[in-house]
Amino acid sequence: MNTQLSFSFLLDWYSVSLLFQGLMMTLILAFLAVVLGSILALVPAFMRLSSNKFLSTPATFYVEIIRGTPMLVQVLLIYQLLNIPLFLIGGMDMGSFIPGLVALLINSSAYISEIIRGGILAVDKGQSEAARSLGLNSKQTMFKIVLPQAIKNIFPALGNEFVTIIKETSIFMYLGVAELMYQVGIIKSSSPAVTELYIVAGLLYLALTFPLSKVMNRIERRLRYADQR
Amino acid sequence: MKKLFLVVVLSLITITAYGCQNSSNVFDFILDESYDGFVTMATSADYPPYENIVQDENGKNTVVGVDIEIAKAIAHRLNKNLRVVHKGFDFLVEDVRSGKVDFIIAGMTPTPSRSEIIDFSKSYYTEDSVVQVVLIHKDDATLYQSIEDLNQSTIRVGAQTGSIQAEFAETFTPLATAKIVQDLKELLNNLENNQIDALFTEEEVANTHMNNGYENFVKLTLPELEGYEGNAVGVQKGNTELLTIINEVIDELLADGSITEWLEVYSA
Amino acid sequence: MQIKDNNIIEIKDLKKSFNSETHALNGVNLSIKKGEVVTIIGPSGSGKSTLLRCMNLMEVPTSGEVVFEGHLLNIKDKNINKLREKMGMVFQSFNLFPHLSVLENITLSPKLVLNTPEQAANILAQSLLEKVGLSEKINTYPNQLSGGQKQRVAIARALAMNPDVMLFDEPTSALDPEMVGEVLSVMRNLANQGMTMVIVTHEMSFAKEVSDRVVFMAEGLIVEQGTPEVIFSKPKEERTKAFLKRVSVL
Repeated sequence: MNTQLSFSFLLDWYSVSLLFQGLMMTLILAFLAVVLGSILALVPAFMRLSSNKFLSTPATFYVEIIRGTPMLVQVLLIYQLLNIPLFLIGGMDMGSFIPGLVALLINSSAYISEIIRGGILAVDKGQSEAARSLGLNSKQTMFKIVLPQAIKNIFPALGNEFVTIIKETSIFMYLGVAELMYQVGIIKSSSPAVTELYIVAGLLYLALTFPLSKVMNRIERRLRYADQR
Repeated sequence: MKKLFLVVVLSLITITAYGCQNSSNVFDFILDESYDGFVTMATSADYPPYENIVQDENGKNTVVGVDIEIAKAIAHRLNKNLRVVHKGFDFLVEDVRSGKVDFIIAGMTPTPSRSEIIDFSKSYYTEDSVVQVVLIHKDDATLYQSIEDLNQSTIRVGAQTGSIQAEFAETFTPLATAKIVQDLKELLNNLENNQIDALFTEEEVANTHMNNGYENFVKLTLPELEGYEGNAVGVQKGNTELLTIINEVIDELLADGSITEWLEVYSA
Repeated sequence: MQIKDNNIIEIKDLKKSFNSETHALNGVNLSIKKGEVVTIIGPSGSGKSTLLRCMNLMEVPTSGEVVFEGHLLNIKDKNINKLREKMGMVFQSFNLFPHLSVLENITLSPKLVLNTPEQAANILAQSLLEKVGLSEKINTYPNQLSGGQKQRVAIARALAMNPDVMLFDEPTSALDPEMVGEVLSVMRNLANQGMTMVIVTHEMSFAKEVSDRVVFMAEGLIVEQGTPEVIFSKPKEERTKAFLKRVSVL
């Protein structure tokens, strides 16, 4: 096995700039997926929590299908369904980017809806009982009493999801969107140091996920501190 | 400490901004000032000598290769400039099927399943490029002198996922253990590091890599294959007008030796 | 709002099953008069809490009727929230809202449901906290309070809606012994002021002292009911006697 590793491509200004651009795009995509995905996720989350079977059953199907199939399959299918012609914005092929983003959002919203639902269910039943016994209706109970407490449960899991999504953005490389793995592919074509390139890519992903985990831990600890019963 | 942090952040921003300039997967070629508009082609530019991404003289990324040259010739014939879109191989058929792009050239074999979805031109492969080979390590040259020598259960052979070469591996070395992956570079490195013993690929592709970083390989030639004519250009089903033009262009390029010339240039 | 025969709550043939095996209530009939303090006692699993929780439809009966101030209670009725405003409930595990301060806990419902203006709500909260002896805790958070203090705040919170009846579900069972007294003291004052109260409890001496009527339940049915003097000194039923012996009151 060739154990001599050559990281000389790192000295190439050009390659380094591509990698950092890719890293930034990865972060932007993941951020969009989490933020927009969380908003979208409220719909299936509340549908599943509803006692109305016509709402909860389709929502359950949606979530289970998305969670049970590979992301690549979802991207391929949505790419076919959303037939968007090739047009450029800022050098980016929107005909590929938009289906990719839609697939990413559908995927993240399904996973996040489970996190939200779990967070809401984890709130002690006594809380909503107390609220209802005081005369609050179900909407007031949810928004004033349950959701604020659910957020403490949701946040840590959401942080984990962010880390997962960061890694899943690599699916965009097949669509020609310049995130980190796409740039790795570009550099790979002109450099034989493939192993070294992958090591660097791995470290760059860590540079995103590791601080993120630490930040989430800090926030979680702060929320728990305020919550000593 | 704060100053250092600021310096680091600023330099990261500069580097990233610089990278942004070179991150588009769409490459435009103005072939002639008088041409009006673009004809679009999609490919997966990770397969030299047919298509690859390199830096041009200005330091920007661009696509080059035999397939690119053929595309330019087609564009010329249509009096249009050429726009090349680079994306994952699995998305190319869908792109031309839906009309997102006008044609695809990507070292793609016209398999029956693909032919159900899109139409293919005639093959643009020359007598030389249609040859299929197996790469082995120089050190193993005396050990394996023919394809038959590789047909043992202790041998590990490699080929790309979904490629015609994967089928050849199945046909010629059924007893060997096959490693089928997406990435050709990964397989080349595996062969270099003795993680596989042989790699099925095309003659011209083999030449390109042997000239560019993989000097330790030798080729074993596969016997002539029945029914395999080479790879072709894909167009939307029913687009006979474009298909006729493309076939004419291919005939011309084969006849005047352009393709042979390009193969030599891009596999150097 | 009519009050039929001075009965603020009427329960008719109430049955509640949680599944095919668990039958919590097997046909209970009970009336609570205005101003009465009724204590419900019995072994665990007798259905006491279930009965109490059916009174404000925290549990929905399988069959039977619950009539509150002349209104038949129906969970599907839009009116149920309005009726619940008039029934205060105090829980065994307090159920204070941890993300709100004591003041906010008490003023939330008046402001939200009764549209009480901010200032009036604050004044109300202050006077209620004085009543339960916790004025100084007005801006603290539940996690800074002891169990007894939390329960007293919970009582103030329920009182803030000016209910016609207060339902207590084992209010002191989760408290350390030294804090039971402060809560019972508040409840005693409430009873002396004429509040209608239904209390599920194990505190027998408190029940003896404060109740107008004691109800003994077992296996989902009312076995016996009467004044504290009768029940605690001269119970008629064998089962009542056995229970009281076990909790060594007799």
